[in-house]
Amino acid sequence: VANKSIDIFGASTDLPTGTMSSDPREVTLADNTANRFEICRLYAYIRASGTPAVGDLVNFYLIQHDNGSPAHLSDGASGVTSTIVPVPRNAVYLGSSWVGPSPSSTMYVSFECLLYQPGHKWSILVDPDFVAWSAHSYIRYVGINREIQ
Amino acid sequence: VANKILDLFASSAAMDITLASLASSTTGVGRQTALITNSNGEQAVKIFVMLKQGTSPTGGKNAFIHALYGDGDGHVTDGAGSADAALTILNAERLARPMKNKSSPATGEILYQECIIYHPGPEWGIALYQDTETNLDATEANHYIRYAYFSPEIQ
Repeated sequence: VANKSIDIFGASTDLPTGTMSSDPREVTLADNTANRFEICRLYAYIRASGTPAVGDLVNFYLIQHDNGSPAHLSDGASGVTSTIVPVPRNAVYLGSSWVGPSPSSTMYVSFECLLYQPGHKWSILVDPDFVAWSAHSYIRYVGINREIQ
Repeated sequence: VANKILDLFASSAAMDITLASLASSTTGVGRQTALITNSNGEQAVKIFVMLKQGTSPTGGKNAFIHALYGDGDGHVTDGAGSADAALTILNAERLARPMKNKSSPATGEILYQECIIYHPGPEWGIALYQDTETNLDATEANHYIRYAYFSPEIQ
């Protein structure tokens, strides 16, 4: 009997960003020890407080946690929502979104990517060039597990 | 017992998008397909695009194919909607190398492109724009964006 493998999607889950600014910021860890998602699809929406400049970037990095004691976290991250200013930055770079032509005070940038085997616990480091507006920004993910039918 | 894994191919299906007379843009002003709900959890989707250029296109120009991703909870790339509509593409992921035309293209020449999305998630779609400095051909039937899912199957 042939059995198809399909993706089972978890619910879209918010990673609280706390009070954002133009400082690089880590968000609280996603604990993957129970769900054991093999893949996560990340969805981010970052809006500026005010009007950003053309060409401003929002950079995204992956923070990885080994669940050890003491724990390893990329770039010495804390694992909870906070400002993080590691230099140089060695967390895995996920990508950037940019502010296009004719920006306005209501514009935002979106960003999506896949995370394969994110591991026990993971998080996102978001680094905007502009002052981000917390109330109108989010970082979410949908976990994916494959299932043999 | 060892079990081989094969790709299980679904039928190719047309996506809902209006491409007739799509205007040229150098700033990402294009068109989106209606979003597809991936209710069967398909793990990969191959995209097939055919466009017919309009009158006297400029050579060395392109069409650009981008992915739209929805989380099923209101987020869609670049603020895209759920239906076939105009869309300004800004940060949507580009899926393939540019769909390039000839250096001296003739009116009505066809362009083809194919690309793949792995684990498209709960919702997905395609957005496209072109910069050939002329509208695409005015007949809708002369263009398409199709997709075919394929997921692994354990034998």
